[in-house]
Amino acid sequence: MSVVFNPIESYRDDFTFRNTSKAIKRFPFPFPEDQYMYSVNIEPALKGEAGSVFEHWFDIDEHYLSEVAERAKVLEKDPDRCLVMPHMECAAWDSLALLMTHLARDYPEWFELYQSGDQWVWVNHALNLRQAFTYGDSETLPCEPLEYITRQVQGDFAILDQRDNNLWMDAGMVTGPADWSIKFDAGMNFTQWHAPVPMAHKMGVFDRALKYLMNIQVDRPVRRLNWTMTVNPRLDTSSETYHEWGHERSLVTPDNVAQMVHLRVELQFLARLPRSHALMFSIRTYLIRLDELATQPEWACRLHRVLRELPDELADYKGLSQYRAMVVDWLKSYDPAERPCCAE
Amino acid sequence: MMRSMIEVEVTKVKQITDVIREFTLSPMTGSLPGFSSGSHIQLHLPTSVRVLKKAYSLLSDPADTSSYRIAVRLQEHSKGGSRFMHERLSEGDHLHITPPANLFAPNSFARHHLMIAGGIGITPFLSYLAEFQRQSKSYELHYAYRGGVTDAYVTDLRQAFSAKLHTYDSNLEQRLDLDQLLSNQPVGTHVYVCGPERLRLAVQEAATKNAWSPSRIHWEAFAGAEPGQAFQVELARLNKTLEVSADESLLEALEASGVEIPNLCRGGVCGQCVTTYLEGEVEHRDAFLSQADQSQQLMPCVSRGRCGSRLVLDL
Amino acid sequence: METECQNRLPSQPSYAQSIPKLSSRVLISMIQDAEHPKAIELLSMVNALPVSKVLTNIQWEAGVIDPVVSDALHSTSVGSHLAICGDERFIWACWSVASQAGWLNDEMTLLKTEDVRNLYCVHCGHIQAISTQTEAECQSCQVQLFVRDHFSQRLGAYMGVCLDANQPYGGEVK
Repeated sequence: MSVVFNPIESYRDDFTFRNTSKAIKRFPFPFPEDQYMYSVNIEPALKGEAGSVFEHWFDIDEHYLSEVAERAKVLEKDPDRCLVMPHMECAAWDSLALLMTHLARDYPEWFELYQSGDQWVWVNHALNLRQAFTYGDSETLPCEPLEYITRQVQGDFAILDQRDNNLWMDAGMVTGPADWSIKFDAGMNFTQWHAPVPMAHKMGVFDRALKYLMNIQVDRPVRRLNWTMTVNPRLDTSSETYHEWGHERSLVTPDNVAQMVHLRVELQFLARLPRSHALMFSIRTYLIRLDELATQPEWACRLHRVLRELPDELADYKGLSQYRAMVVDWLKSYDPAERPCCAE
Repeated sequence: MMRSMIEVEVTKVKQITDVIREFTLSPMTGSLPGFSSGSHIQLHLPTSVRVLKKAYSLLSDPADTSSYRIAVRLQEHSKGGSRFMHERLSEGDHLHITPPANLFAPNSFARHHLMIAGGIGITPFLSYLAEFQRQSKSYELHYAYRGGVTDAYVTDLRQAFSAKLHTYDSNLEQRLDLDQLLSNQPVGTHVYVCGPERLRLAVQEAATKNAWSPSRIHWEAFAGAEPGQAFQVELARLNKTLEVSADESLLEALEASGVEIPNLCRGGVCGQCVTTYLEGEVEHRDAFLSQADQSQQLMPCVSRGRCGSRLVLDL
Repeated sequence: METECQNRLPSQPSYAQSIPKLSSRVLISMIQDAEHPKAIELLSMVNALPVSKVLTNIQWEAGVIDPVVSDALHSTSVGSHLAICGDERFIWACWSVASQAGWLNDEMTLLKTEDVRNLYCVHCGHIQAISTQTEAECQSCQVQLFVRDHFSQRLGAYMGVCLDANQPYGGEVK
């Protein structure tokens, strides 16, 4: 079934972003258990059920036009959110090729790609674009190749160089991160950019994850889910704009909690870029309002227990501490206390 | 089968020197997965005794995914792999290969790439050269061989890269002075070695002598298990005993008995096949495990039980 | 020392407590203040090595370094060692040039003298010098910043992020 796009919604100011019931049903609810703790929860990214967010490598959904418009707004004000270091040029082209190939194959009604040697033609019907270019020659595109293609895709992208037994964040397009900054973290290795994450270092989570990620093979991508919460459906919760959105955490009240607080889930997907041997790390963000989430009562039940039991250190790190109690309170009515939750 | 395999057809066999043959492998339909310089594939060779798995560097240009090319040297004491490739494999044959993996990628931060090849060890550098040339990188290649025997591609290389190629023919007593070479490389140089084990050791020795940081030294190490002595291994959980003969690796013996272990390089570097052992003396030959880890773990692709000791694996 | 290590962020820079014994034949020393005790100690070692080059009175400011220094860093061969002795701003300005020239971290010894360091305002990108304090006002956008331990070697700076999102500019109306 082909994807239908909603008219453009906003992720800022008047916040008109909403999920249709179809989007709610395919939301990647991230909790397999009633408690949450860090783990190396990485799995091979096998093709998922038709219609699910796991069906294709790069999920395009009803919010496509809105996310593309939001990215353009962020870049207009802060063009450096897209950054490609000189030694990453080959990886940037590799990323463009991977994205174009998969989008054209998976969403033929929206995207088309014609290749004849290094002469390529890209057609994006959703945005009414048609671009003929020479693969490998940046002069033939309106902008740098990573920027060109990721302006037309949902989700953030970090491109990781693999050298010296580590992964280095040396390129990326990051306009909707969960409280971090590509402009600050660029050039760091895997251990360095995860430095602010509490507890996990001591647990050895990152050492194990790093070894696993460095072994990812061509055509054998992996994925994991990560989560946090966001007040208002704001995509750009970057460190860069924290002084503009951080105060919204204190606007949550028991009366507006179900409309204001969103569960924010990142579908993180890692694929080897064949030609450059770099890794593509895509972070596809899904937002769901608490009252939207509660239309699936088993999710509300499980989220209630997870948030209630979450260690304070993690709640602080995820920025939930100011309003966690109100969310737990609101979700309580969905939890038939004595029985285990039956969420998938 | 643990990883999905690709079926290919041998579309061309070319004798490069007396002992080196080149094989072109083409997909049954469409194109093959893309790859980066330094990548290798595993070939599954259906010999009369068993399916042998052998890793070979891709020597073709990464820009071309219409086929893969590899070159194989006939080993004097071949366990069957190179002998099979030279004597049995011909044009039109079908084979199964794994998708490409890379344990020998060039360092993208290097300001200068210094490649040192010995004989058939030239193969990964052929894919390096294609990219370096295209990306206008700074590089030089030092190639040691025995003229007329292991001097694969030397004529082509001379034509294409004469200014950056330095050759050393042992028949002509031409010697590569590693100490001299490594004493005078510009800051930012990374060195890559592929060839016989003694060449790698010599490069490492010269690098240490000249105070090179170990992270500037890279080598390709999937020469495969060197022959050893026969030994016995017990699989504790499966309650099985296996005989590992002198000419096969522990990994091969496990696979022959139906025990599948994840693996990639089959040369002691990638860490995929790490296995815990419970008892016994081990002859560790890997370049992956720390000394502390080696007291409990081994890499069956290269390491062996010591003759006469009882090796017990946690399998 | 033990507790300090346990609480340290993996991105935080670490500086040498003393000058290590070096096996390299060439030592290049970049010194901000030749009178500082650490610089004096470094200079006393220099004569023990076969080849060494001492660079003092280096002209530097925010990413621009004396071309003489840049040349010295580019024209040496692999196997050399670099000692950088100065405050944190000096160290990372030199590190950046060395890194661009192809030097690796394990070929450098960083000797910190004074507690002068760079703060990067994550909201506007401005970099300013601070001391050991954990709060500062951004000189460019006036946001009141908390100084995190999170450090970027590329920028040579610690991350400053809005201290109180409810009052980004400190009680004043902007």
